[in-house]
Amino acid sequence: MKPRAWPAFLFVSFFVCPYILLFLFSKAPAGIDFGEFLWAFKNTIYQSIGSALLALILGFMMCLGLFQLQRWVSRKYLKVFEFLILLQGFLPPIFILLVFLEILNPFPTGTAGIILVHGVMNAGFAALLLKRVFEQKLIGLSEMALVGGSSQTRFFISIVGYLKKDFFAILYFVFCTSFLSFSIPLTVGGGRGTTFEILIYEKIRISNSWGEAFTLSIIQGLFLLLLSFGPSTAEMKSLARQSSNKLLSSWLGLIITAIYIFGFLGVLAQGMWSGVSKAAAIPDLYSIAFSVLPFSIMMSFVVGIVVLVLLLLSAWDFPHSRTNKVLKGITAPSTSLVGFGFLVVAGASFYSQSMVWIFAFVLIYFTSIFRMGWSEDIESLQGQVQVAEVMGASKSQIFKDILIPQLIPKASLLAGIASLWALGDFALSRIIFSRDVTLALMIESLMSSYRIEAAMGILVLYLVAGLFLFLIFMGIRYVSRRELS
Amino acid sequence: MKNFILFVAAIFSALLIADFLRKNGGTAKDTRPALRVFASSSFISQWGPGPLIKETFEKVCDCVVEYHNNADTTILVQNIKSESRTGGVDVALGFDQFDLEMATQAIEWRKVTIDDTNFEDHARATLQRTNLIPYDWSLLSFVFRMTEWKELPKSIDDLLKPEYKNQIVMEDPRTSSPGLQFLLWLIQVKGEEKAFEFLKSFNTQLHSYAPSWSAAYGLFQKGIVKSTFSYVTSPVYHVVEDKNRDVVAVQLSEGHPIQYEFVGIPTTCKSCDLAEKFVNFLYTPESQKIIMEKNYMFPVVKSVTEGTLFAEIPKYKAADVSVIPTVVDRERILKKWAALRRGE
Repeated sequence: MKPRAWPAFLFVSFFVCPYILLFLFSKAPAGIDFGEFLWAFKNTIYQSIGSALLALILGFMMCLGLFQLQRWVSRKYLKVFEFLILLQGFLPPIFILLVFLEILNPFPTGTAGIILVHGVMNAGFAALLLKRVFEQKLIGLSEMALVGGSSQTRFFISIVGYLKKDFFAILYFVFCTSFLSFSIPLTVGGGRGTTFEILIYEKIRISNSWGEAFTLSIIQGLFLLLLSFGPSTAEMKSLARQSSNKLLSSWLGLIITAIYIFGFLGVLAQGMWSGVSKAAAIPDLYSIAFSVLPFSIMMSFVVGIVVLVLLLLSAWDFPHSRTNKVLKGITAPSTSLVGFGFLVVAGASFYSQSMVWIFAFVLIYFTSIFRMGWSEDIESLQGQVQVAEVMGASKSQIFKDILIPQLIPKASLLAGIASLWALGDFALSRIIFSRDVTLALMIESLMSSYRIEAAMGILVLYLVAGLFLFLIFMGIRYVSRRELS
Repeated sequence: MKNFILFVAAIFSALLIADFLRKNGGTAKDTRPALRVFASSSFISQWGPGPLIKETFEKVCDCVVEYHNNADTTILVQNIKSESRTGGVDVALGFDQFDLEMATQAIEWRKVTIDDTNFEDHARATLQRTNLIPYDWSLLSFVFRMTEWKELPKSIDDLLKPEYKNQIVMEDPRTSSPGLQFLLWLIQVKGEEKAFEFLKSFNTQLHSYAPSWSAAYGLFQKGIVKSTFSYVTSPVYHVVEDKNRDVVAVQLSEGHPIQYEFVGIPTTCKSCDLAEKFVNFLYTPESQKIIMEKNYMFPVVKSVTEGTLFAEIPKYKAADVSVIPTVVDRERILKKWAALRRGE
């Protein structure tokens, strides 16, 4: 095998390993009930398409809102808003649901409910991804259109064709996230709550039919792989301009952004406020929470670092982009399957559980992270790489001196996001760890013993830990940028 | 690149040191024999009965109790199987009566000799089936806040009244034990056909189905819904922790489902004698009281509730506990339940 092909091979092996594990433990694929499959498939498709569209529309409005804000506040403060806008995508789903159900009562259950929660949860990501696309592609165009006297509606209608590949990439990202979701369809889905992930879980938990779960997971992966052959994103320019103008900003967008951030935060803060006193009333609760904090942060940090290294590794064979193609298409196996599959190897040793935990989270999050515009970032460096190749630079020189320095800042941001997700998870952690060693597991334990309000009190610590982690990765970004300059 | 690696290494080392310092507060390695107990998080967690039981048992056994958490009973069974090749599982806690068939098919359990003379009669009846022994129990019902209602339901059919529309959250029977308890109980009291007829209307009355008891109870506690399906012992939690007597579990004319939690010793245990001692220790009045007060469940040993808030809980009519559908039957019922929901 040529050295260039190694990363692609390693990535494929990495994503296929849970299936191999299951196969080794005599869990071969088995036939499925076609009616049941069709029902789950239809539900999952409807809710994923709806969620993706809603997230894109809301994200578009909030993106214009952020541009409006950018006209008044400094970049430093804008970063704070960008962090707040992402908050709904990081918190454990149960807390997101509590906030939703508190705001909208009665809540519209069924497909509409799932679309609403997924759409709103992912709108923050969509807004930031769109903002980045606009900064890279629309600033110049919008300035020209402004001089030419174009209206905002006319401007955006005319650029839809130009940005269709970028819109598709964002739709695909939210589609995949919603497609693989578990708790939300189960809670607010009503009769339409049976999705692919739930069906896989049912097969394992109720029927003990690992073979069927295996088959369903393979179908799920193949379907998402097929979708990834859709339009790929257009080439990006390597430089983005931080600027805004009338055509790219909107008051309505700003109002929607404010409601999105402060409406959510308001309800959450209210819950946390009453929770803090409840938590304080439980003896030693805060000291226990503080004692698990270093381990929670360290493990999530390691997940982030591994994701960062893998992101950089995925650029190794660029511009021959075999790895890129593989990663654009591949999807993480079902969370339930990964959890149950890794249970077999995790054992009761704390160290093996910790290793498996890191491995499982990287496996689950990496493809989602990769879809956040990473391949476009790599492709934006094509010009530089070609020049270097013509000038005789070696593969490792290009990787070390051109790709890594320029990609680390973005990779740090994405790795930070992965580490925040890992910090907030308790579903997979509960399967792998045999003790409450992370903050999220502690929150889950509190909830399973009547103490949801105290759990909300502990959520304050989670937010602080999340901010700390995010700052660490921003620190990595800063250090790398300084090195680059 | 050098700065980047240094920065990452510095952060990692700092976190590692912080975690190391927390774990190694000068404690020497314990050389006493270990007893490995696998149980659910509600038992093991700091606010569950596990830590106190460990503390009191370790005083008398000259051993170290090691708790291992398990997300659910499927995982517990999987762990017992895989651990039999390594460290072994000495005691497993947390099965309910519907898990018994699965647990006994997958694992061989030791016969444990315990003194059951003081057991509640209904709990003693469960001892005939398997080598697993119940250690706590409770009936289940719908809980309400009295101040929010003029009249509370007296039968399951009352829940179809318009005033309960969108006010009740149930647990999904596919993912939650209380949800499954409700479904199987409903079939038991109404017959399968009528139960599913009832569910057609009942499902449209509900606010939602939650994935777990904790999520459902959370919605109830946050006031998003006015009722949920929980344990008749749940109101005691609110009296003890919130000093609030507003929460009640209603009495239904049809009776109530009952849930037992079982403990057992796999034949693959490594510290089998210690395991026997531990299981017996669970039935001392002291341990039963800890389980009752921390798990908010009834003890299986008589007289432990005397003089406590649990004694004040009204007597509820229990459903027939001998009716336990087989795994195959349960799967068929759950598929039927899922099919019914598809039509909504």
